[in-house]
Amino acid sequence: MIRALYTAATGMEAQQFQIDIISNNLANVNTVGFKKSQVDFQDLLYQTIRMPGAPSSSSTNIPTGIQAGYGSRVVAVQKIFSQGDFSQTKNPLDLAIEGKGFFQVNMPSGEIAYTRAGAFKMDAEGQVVTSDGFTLEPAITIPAETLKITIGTDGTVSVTVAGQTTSQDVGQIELSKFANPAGLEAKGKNLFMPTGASGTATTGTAGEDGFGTIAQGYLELSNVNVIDEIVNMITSQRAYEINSRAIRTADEMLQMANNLKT
Amino acid sequence: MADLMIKAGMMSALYGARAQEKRLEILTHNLANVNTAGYRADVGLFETVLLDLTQDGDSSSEVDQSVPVEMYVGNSVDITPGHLRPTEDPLSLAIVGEGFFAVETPEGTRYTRRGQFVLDEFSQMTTTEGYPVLGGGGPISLDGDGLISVDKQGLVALDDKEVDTLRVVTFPDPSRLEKVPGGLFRWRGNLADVTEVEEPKVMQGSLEMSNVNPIISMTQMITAHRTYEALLKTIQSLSQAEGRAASEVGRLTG
Repeated sequence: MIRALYTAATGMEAQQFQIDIISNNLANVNTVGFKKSQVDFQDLLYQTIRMPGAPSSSSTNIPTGIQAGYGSRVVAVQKIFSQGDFSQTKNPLDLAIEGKGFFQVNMPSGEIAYTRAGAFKMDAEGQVVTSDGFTLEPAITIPAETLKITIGTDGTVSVTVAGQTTSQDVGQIELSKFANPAGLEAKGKNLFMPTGASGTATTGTAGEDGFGTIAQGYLELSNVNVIDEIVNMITSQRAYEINSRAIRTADEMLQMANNLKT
Repeated sequence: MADLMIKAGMMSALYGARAQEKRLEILTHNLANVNTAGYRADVGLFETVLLDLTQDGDSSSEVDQSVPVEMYVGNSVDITPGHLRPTEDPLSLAIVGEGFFAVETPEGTRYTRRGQFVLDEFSQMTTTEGYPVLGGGGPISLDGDGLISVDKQGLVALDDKEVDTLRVVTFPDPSRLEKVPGGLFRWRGNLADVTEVEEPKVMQGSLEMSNVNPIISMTQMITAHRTYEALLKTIQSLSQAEGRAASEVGRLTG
């Protein structure tokens, strides 16, 4: 019965963790480029006291084994990289990727981080930066006195400067993709870093195989579906409740056993 | 004689109470996994056995000194299917009806109903723990871009290019499946007896959830709880009766 107490506690812990993840998803329901997380549970450790199918004599087998399980645990928190909806902003530096690619961003540490959040701005020098001021890789500088910025579906950035009639190219936005995006490490601020599980980044041009295309004047919204999250929250809460009842039952039975000797 | 009856009652109640404790342990493990994808509930097996109360070496008694008691003898796995939960993930696969997916672990091939798969850094289809999922030709590699589709028969394709067919296997005797952590099963029989399901039904974008029925489990928990209570009360009354027998019946008055 002591084991029943701990087993039910693992169930409560796992569900509590799920609620934490759901809350984070819900808190980011309006975050541009946010990708939701999903918790993956597993059953915990089996103590095999007797194997099923073990021979009981030379010609017969014991048909059932004795196995004791110890509850459940969280095995993985997986990012789901499904496409979020697009929202039109008409802002020339709002970019959305339709496909699997990521924008590359220069971190202050010198590393390159990856993001789907395409709400870019211009800094004092005219460089295209994220909301946190990190520059794009390769860096793109918009000349002063630019009237109009056009970014093509392949990432080509062209500008029309005051006093000129033709537009000029100022660079091209490159995209990266990963064999297993779910293996990327979320660094916060909508940035992701590659890990051993994600594989290394493959860099290419938007519109090429699998990178996706760039849509100017659009933002990719969060892929969190509120209804799904609420349904998960309800099932999680009920599972939590059921496990707490199991703890109470084990506790009461233990109490009764203690009361045997009065 | 009265002494024997008290002893028999005690033993019966004691073994019964222990069986309820075991029931509770199994139920809590099931309830802890009420939200675990692909989990298969444990079922405790209990039998009534005759317990011989004869003292060692004492065969002189002509009275039948055995008492029926309830004993835990092992567990089996409930193989009824769990409900399906739709996901947006092309790598969430559920088997409808018979069969198990085959995965390669360092300890050998294991089987699972848990169809939450991912691609690893080599673009191989694996479980969330990184064990490759097996197709007819071994691990399934989905290198390249495009839409991953899995049809009803388990045929995995990348865009229109067929890659491999998932192995969906079945066993002649499910009671010989041993649970190993991570929703996996180990086949404790002859490997030659593992057969491919002829017409598997694989559903893409769905995940088979736990088959633990919370309502039934809760009811069983209440039953175990109350039975335990009744049995402990029995032990208590028997022990009081025994005490009275010793202190009052034998006393000489006067």
